[in-house]
Amino acid sequence: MYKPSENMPLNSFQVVSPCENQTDFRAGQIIRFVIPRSIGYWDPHTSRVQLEVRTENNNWKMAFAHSCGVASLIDMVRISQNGIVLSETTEYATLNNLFTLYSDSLSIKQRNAVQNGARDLVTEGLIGDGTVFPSAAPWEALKRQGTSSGVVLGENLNGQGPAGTMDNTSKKYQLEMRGIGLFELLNAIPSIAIGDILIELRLVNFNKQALMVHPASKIPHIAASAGAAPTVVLTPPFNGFTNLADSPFVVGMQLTTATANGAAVGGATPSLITAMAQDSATGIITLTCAGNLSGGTAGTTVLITQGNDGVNNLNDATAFIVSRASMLLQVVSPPQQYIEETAAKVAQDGLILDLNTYTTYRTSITQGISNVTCEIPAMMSRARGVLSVPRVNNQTGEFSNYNPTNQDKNNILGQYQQLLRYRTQIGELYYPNQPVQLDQMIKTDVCHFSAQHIVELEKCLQACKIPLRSLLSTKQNFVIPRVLAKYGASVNLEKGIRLYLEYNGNGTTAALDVVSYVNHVNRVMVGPNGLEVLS
Amino acid sequence: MNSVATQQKRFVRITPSNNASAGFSPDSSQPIVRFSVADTMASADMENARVNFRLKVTTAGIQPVASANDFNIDQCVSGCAVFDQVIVSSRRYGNQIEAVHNLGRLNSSWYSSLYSPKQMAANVNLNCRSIGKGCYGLQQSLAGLGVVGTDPSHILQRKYLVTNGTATATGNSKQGWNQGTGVAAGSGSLMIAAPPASGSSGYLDFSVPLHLGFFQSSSVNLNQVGGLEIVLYLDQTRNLFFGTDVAATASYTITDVSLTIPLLYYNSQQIQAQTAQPESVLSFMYWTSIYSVLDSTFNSIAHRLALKGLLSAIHNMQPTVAINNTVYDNHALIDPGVEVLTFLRDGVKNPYEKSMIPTVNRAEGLANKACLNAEILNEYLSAYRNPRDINYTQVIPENLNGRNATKNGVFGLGQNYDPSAGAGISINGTISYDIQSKLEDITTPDPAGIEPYAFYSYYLSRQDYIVTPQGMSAV
Repeated sequence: MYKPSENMPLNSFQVVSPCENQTDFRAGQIIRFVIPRSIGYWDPHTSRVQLEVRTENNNWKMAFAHSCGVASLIDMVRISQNGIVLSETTEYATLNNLFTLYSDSLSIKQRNAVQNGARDLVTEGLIGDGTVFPSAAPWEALKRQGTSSGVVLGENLNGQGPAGTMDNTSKKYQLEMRGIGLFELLNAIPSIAIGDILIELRLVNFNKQALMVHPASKIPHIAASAGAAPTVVLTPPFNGFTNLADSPFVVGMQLTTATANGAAVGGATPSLITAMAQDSATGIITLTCAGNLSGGTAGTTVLITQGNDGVNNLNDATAFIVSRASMLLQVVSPPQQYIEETAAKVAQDGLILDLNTYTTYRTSITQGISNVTCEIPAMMSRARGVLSVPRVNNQTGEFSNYNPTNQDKNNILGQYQQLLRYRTQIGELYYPNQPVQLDQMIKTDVCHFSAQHIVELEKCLQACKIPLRSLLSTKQNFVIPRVLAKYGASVNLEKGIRLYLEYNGNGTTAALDVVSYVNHVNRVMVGPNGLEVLS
Repeated sequence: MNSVATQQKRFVRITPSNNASAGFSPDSSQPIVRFSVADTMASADMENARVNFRLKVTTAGIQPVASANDFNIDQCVSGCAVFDQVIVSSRRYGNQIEAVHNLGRLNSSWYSSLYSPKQMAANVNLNCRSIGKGCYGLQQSLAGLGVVGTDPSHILQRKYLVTNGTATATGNSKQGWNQGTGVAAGSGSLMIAAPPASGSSGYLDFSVPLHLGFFQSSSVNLNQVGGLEIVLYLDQTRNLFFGTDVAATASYTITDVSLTIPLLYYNSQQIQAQTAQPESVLSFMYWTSIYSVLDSTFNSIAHRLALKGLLSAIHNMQPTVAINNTVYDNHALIDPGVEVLTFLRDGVKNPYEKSMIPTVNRAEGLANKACLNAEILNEYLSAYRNPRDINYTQVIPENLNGRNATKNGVFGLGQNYDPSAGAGISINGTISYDIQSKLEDITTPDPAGIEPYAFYSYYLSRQDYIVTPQGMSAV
């Protein structure tokens, strides 16, 4: 909280800077913002991006696919000035997801969900009446694809439209540009000295990379009179949603009755939802169906069986559209004397900005190989750490017969895949001189972690200025770390890095796409002759 | 000589200057608590000052609260809400330094904005006995509020009001943990084992911080400021508790009231240096509290202000019918259904050059909205500090949607005028708010009807004083 401050007061205001190039952006397209020189000084740490996103052609309610929420949409972030690139990070969603899973505790995820629309999977916990969630396929497999707290409930991409129809209007989300050095600077940036800054956000190439079906769509929901009457009553509290608009239900969907653990009962045709209502006083949701569910066979829960078009699977043409993108810029107005002093200083000595930057390198691992070498051709001079995320390779690009359970959702988590040990080599030097052992993590039925791995991971995250607050996803989102320097220092990576991986048994069970993020400092030098970047 | 050793840190424990042996109560006893802090040669760490007391609650006459009663207190502020107004002034000079009205609602914003549900249940609970709003783990993962009287979270909060030693039995993670058991009135010991007799007055201890601007300073020179006179006005019972079992004769009493302040005594060199300096400047933060009403779906609220170092402002709302009404939680922060919000300064959009328009389905009632108002709520949180650095809060989806939003509520509006430097800006003019909202009638409830909403504003600013032997004057 604020205390009496002796700082120089800075008049400050927020301006909305819309994107430059178009209005509706689809998968694969680039959103461009320009921060003009004329804006003077701006505070990057308090500036952020606002995206208005909607969906089209979906027959189930949709949410962002990953724990990082709206960042699931972003593939690349590039900052440049007059053609000179200050920083460029590709596979940004994976990086942002890594921050979310390692640096955000559950409380922080809850807080961020308000703005980024992140939504947990619903695969664990209790069903409405206290019944433990079913331990069966596909939920068991889904547990490996995301966290399931039941309390990360960001805004879905679809609310409730008129008369309970699908709401496909745009929703506003805000994106903190985590890991993008320019937006992590704590000082006011003198655009007046740097010139126009171009910020480019490229959206992911496929809709499936950013979207999943509302996570509570295919779980059983406790309901009174399920089956015995055409009216289904759901009483709060709910599992996986907070109210009717937030729920997966849409008029036109079909319901069937089920047992408490989700097994369907009765064999008759499911019943169509014809109307929905929520009581403002009690919060009770009433779903009115065309007839008795499952031919009148009573159950304790209800399940949605078909989308609002009567089809079981998600419509293949489901897509997201960023209908408006804005940069919320915090402009500061220092006193004239300060501006003049800064201008004189830049003219005389130049201006130096150190940007915390992540540069991405990719390599692949073929299925069934136990000893693998991954080359990371990073040659930057101020490197601090490397984080390698071995993701699943060969994932289908677009939605195709997509099951609303999300069992085939896009997966950007690092795969452990029975890795036995790893180590890195820089030039001729192996570090650590003995490989990091992961023996304890080999067992599939227990949650044992390798202490050595966790120590290495923590060292690396700290070197990269990422606060480590959660180790819950150590195995679920497996990351191979390599710390390069400590205490805020950096090293010169003039000889590149090699990553040696040794898998158990016959090697990996699937091909992997290893995405390595090298954290380094890009020094931006602004002088009378222009701008120079030393990486 | 080690200079460190010449300074002494002491925790002083001050009893009220109007000490009442029967305790303080808004209904049956003295409703004002006064503390006098001497003008000693010491610096006071007001950030860590605490008001300590023990709370006795009765539903009707001397009848204690039982866990089965629908007798509730707000889950964020809990015991902090017993203080409704606080006035701080200088003892020697008589100047009023700060006066905050509706402190309970300021506290409600403070706690709900800056503490996560887990922090409330774990850390804040030890001071204020509040359990917080919202879930924080898999075992509590069901979202949405049940019926208030029987909702497990309300029952858990109610346990801290149960002071008759009756064991509680409703299921939750703190089952059977009855804080009030066995603490007898006036026993002088919190460890006494024997439970009080039926219908007697078991007490529960609280130690609450005061979130006044003045109390955000960690080193207040008590000699320069001329000592302090702190006056606390107790909240009305009907404003503090809610539920169907809150009878007209329900009441509460606080006893064993004290104020603890860590003091760092100056050494002889520091004392000499101070006495040699006839004039000094003191800086404090302070809140300016203003009450307004939203009585039209298109409303403009204007505040004429003259503040030197205005930093930020927060605003929260609730239906006017809920004020001092035991049917409603008087510390709930309710969204009246904001549809367009514009902040203005002297008629010009400032500090945001935009109107905030939530992407909300206006046809739906507040209990059934899916919109989370990120645009508005990030600016609200910015009133405390950069929202990017606020990692822990109860302003989370579960508390913003569903019946939680209309019963418990954590919604607010806010703006920050100097987020980059944190020094505050000078303002001598009008700050106004153009608010288009549904003003939904949530008390009937009638999603199609409207009702007026109270609009509580708190401006945080910095005030400098020049202190001379002749007195203390604001700069």
